Amino acid sequence: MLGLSVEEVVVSGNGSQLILDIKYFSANPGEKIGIRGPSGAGKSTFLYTLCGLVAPRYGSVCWGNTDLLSLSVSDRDKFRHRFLGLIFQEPCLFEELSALENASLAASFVPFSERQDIRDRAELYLERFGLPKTGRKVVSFSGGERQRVAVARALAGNPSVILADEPTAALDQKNRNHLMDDLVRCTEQERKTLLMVSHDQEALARMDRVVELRDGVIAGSSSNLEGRGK
Amino acid sequence: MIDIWQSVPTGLQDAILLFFLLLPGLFLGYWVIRGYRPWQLVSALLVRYRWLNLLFVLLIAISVGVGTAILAQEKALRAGSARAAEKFDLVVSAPGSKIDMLMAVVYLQPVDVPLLDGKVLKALAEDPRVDLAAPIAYGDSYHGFPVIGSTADFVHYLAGKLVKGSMFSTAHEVVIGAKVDLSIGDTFIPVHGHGQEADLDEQHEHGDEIDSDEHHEITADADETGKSCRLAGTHHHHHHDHNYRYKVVGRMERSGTPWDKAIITPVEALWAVHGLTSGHLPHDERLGPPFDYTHFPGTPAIIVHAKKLWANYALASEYTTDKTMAFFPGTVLAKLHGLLGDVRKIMSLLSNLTEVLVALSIFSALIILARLFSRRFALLRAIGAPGRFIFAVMWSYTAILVSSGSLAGLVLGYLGSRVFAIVVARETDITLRVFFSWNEYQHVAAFFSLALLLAVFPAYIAFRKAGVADLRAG
Repeated sequence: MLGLSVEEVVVSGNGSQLILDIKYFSANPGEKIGIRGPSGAGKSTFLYTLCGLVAPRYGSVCWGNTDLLSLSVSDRDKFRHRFLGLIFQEPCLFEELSALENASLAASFVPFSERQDIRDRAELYLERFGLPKTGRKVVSFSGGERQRVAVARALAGNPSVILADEPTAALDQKNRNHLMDDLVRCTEQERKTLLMVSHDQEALARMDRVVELRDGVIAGSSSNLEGRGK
Repeated sequence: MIDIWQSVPTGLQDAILLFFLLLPGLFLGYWVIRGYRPWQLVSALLVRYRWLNLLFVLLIAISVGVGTAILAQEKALRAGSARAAEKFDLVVSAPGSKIDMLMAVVYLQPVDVPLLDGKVLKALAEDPRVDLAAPIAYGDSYHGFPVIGSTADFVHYLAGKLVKGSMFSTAHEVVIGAKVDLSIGDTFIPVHGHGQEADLDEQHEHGDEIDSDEHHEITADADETGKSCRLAGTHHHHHHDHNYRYKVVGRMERSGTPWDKAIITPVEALWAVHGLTSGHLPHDERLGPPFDYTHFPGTPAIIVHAKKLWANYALASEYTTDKTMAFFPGTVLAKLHGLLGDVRKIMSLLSNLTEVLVALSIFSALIILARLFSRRFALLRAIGAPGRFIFAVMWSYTAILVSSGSLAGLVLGYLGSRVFAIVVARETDITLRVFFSWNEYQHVAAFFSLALLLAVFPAYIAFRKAGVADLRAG
């Protein structure tokens, strides 16, 4: 269980123009936070900064007691693998591999002792999502099935936090609902923190809190919990 | 240190060298891959771009194959031609081109050479140091198989025991080489000349005239009718007995030399066909030595086998005069092999250069291809894969292409050499035994290691380029 605390994070582009300027942001362990905003508001950059894929000019991104930005590149890789699970708008799968091979991709580079664990968890999630584990290559999967394989991949490493960048954007309504059901159920059951960038109002409505980003700054925040009576 | 190395058996030296050539590639492979399991992703990349990968493998295979084939061919050609000459210790002929004589005697290629008289043969035959002095006469053929006149002793010396039938005992009998398309008991009438010349002979029979000034006259005594004939020449007069019929009585064992296609007749028969004296006194029907030098029509060459090795050198010296030429076919071949070796070095250098260029082109293509993989590599980075893992995937991918290409190149080189050997055998009747020695394996090992070292560059670029920008694309 990891909480997040972001302070004074500034990300600028090639021409020094400001892309992100976050004075303060935090997330409690197990919290589900939606991030919304118009295109170019810096939502994806924010998410990639939180997982150490984008290096800010300055600031701190603390997961628990660990300031991600103070870690070396290789330690950041290790941290990401150990604590963060990422889901992208496109599933980014290896189409020549099966669902299980894709979902347990991390087993290719983790120490031997962790490999079986990753495979077991990948199998578990694929089963939970009603996906065939082996045999069929994912090239023959539908868009919804592929994205669920990507979710299984994110969960297979048993991360404390799931970072999702518009995971339902490429899906139809039915698959959106299906995916969100799976994603929310898993994060709630396993008390994982979920940060999700989305334009999808229905998906955002299932978050505990929604943060609004405009021009790289947090323009507002609203809670959904009150509406649910929590 | 050098002394210790030289005391190591040659085979072990080669094995050690092979190991050390492979070592950089293997060590690098271990260092790059250790702790990871990249093969699943590598196989995905191989399947994804299978046709392109196949093309890369094919290009590497061809360049490696050409390199190994050149090495193997040169060696096989050297061994094959040397084997063809091994029965011909010393050849005595009239002064002229040693290479021409070598081609005539060892490889049975028709060449224009002057004749030796009977005195030379007599002197050699009576020399106590000489075990065998056999005249060799050419000029006729049957369906492309050269008819060679010599003695029974020469046949025994050349082929040992006949595998079938018996030695000729009359002037109308022949023994044949293993590849002659005739059977024991078959009879045939030879034609004068070889190949196209034999065809010309047919025209001559129909009245075409050849200007006699263009042709050398026989240097030995003409027969009593005054007819003359040039036995080993390519042109001739019309004194050929067109009804002289031979019968096959024996077959020699296969030797893998041009002599497998030879039809060997008593030399007296060959002379008789050309209307020449028999080499014996009139009415003397004997075959073989001793010949009577006053009735000896001439021979283009005498094959000499001395009782002792040293005697060959003494004989070679004694018969190197203004009237005779004595030479060791092996020495002439060694000079030709030296030339062949130089050509091989140049070709080998060119093929090595081609290999490196092919490898560089492929690596350049892989660097471009790495851009296609960039999204997948970026994903791996995003899910926490270390940079070295991306490096390992790309390096392993390149290594598999190089290894497959190198192995396929070995097979291709071997098959190419076999095809070349078949062509050479068809053209020259010299059997080339193609085999790969340590040299070829070391050549491939050197290429393999060098290519794996070079594979570091596309791998490094893939590792450097894998970034978050690729995740946003699409």
